[in-house]
Amino acid sequence: MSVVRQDVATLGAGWNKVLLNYALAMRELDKLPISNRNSWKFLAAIHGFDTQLWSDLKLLQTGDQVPDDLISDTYGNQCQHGSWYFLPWHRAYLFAFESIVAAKVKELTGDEWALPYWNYLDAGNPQARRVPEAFLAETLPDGDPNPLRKYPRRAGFSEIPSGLSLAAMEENDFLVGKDGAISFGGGISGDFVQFGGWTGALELNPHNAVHRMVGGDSGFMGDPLLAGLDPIFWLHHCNIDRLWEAWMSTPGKTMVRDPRWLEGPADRRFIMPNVGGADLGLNVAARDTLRGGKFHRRYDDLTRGTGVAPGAEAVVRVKMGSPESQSVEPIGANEEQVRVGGAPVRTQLTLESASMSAGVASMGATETGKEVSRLYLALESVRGKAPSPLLDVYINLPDGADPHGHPEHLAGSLTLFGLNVASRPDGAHGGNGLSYTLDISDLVQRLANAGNFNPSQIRVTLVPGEQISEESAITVGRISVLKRHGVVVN
Amino acid sequence: MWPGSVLLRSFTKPPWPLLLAVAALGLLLSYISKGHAVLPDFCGAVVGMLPYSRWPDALDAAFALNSSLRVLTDWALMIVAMMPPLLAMPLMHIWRSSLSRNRLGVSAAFVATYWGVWMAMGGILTAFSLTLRIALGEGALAGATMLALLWSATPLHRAALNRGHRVRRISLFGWRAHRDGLTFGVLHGLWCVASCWAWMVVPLVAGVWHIPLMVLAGVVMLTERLSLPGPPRWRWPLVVSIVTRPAFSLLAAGGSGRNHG
Repeated sequence: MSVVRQDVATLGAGWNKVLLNYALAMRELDKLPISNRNSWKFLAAIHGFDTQLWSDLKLLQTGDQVPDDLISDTYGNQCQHGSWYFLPWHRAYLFAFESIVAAKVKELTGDEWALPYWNYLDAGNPQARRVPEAFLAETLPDGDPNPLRKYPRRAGFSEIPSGLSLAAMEENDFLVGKDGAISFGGGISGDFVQFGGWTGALELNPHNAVHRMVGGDSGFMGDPLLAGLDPIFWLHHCNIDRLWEAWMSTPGKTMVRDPRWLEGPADRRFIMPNVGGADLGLNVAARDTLRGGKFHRRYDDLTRGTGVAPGAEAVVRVKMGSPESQSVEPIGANEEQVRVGGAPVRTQLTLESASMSAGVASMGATETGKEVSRLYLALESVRGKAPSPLLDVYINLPDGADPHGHPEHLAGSLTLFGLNVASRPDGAHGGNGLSYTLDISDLVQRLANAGNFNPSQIRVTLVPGEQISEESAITVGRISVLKRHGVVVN
Repeated sequence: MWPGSVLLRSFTKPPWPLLLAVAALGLLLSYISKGHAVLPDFCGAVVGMLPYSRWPDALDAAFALNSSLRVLTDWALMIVAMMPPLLAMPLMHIWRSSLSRNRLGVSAAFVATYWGVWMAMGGILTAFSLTLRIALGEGALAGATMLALLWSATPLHRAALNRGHRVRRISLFGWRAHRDGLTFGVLHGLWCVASCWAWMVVPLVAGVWHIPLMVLAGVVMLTERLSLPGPPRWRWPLVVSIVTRPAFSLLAAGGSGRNHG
């Protein structure tokens, strides 16, 4: 199929042909039993599946036969988060989904079809953050119920509020350091390596944020075990995939070259269903998702709403050398695990004063050959029961201050998408939860310039947002400061 | 690219080469010290099955014939030969979580208590293997192997392996960093004992096959250790999968084959 993926906003208002065909195909695929590998439910369950949850939500009907390959070691529950496979796995997933839907569209209408993307960060489109009208309409043009709004979203949802960011696109390296704690695309996982489930910058925002904003605490998009059922999921991930493609197409960005990533993972297998659901599915290696690979697809545009201009050098941050030549070291941490329930919690981090001072001093280096640093706040082994809780992180808030009144101290807002699954003791993360890094270089520089920074210690305030309460608390195993160090290069 | 080459390439990254070298050294020392002969001989004095009522006498006689120091030394070498590769993940976690000046110290604290847990188990497992020899005679090896396979198939085994994937917070500064290393070593050691004890018994009852079966059991335990976590349920033992499934899916077979987040 040579069809190019297009911005859904450019396809016409309301029931344009692409979205109408999508709805018609979805309606048919959703009629198929979950035992059919091309059924809507089977496709969603590849991302996440829990027999009990799906039964409780009446997604499984009496008599439904859940196929073994959803609950055993093959198709079900494959989705990759907090991992350097996040982007390639979802790319292959999109490819398989698109192929199956396109085949159904062809069968029903004779039309070619490609998955459109939801370009919610297109600054040139004032309606960009509004969900396409076809996903909100009560009925199809023929008066039948609209399958594109069949599965629940956040109550009253029609538009993504502010809070999305393209800051991830400023990162120059797919991953840095030995474990990828700092990365565009996620930390090293699999291959007999077990780190903290480091979430990549693109995954954190906009990916995680959109899941929470669309799904809330009751919509399916907010839970990885259900998200794939919502048809908007696929347009969202198509845009995330496009952002990755735009990032890779931009000079100055360094894609991972580690053979473990290219050929991996070594300790498990990714597999996607064929059109028709034949027994032999499509095996996926990360290399297959790169340009020229069997899972790679083209986009109509890689500029609008991406924050980069492919082909043009677009390095916002100073280049710090090859990822292998950079170092990432912890230089400070708090003393105990932190529990966050219904109220903000403050914790103090002790820092290696000399190292911190040196880091602050070299943050602004731009001259070639000079040492340069960036500072990151790391929240390690975050655990909780909620599927996509929101946590705001502040640094050096004044005593007694209302955090919301001091946005100048905000280090970042974290949507902890998938925390429920990553925290299960018998889940694939071994109950280690997820980990996150926030770039605090600019904030620390501002605080230092204002005389509000002590290189021996910083105070971190964690402010609970939606889905965090006393009944649904989260824990943060360790909060640390990481210093990323390199040498300025052209 | 053949998936096995990807698999093998992962073992070229630190700390695998060092850990494999330590294990090889332990194996060599076990061989040189003839520890491979003492423990089997320990049991070999008892030929054939004995009635239940005579087991205590037989155990007393066997312990009387062998110095406890020698038994402990041999057990210690066995741990050195078989366990280091299993420690790659926790040691990597400690290394990346610590200040550079603390890395060796915290790692040593972890290894010390981990090793201590296994040493404490030495007497129990040795007595158990001896009892197995007394009870089953020449059938002890087959019995121990069946027991290990059965244990590997249980939900409890999977649950213990899952807990062994759990990493703990490592403090960055001062005594707390070393305390956390010590605590992590104890807890990781306990879960390691829970998941590996049955396979450790196999070489203890293996007679002249002691050294080869140390290697085999070590490989099985490493494969189980590296398999991804998954829901505890009855499943085919991983070693059965090794024989019956393609190399690429071996490790996934032990866990759920999932990495869901």
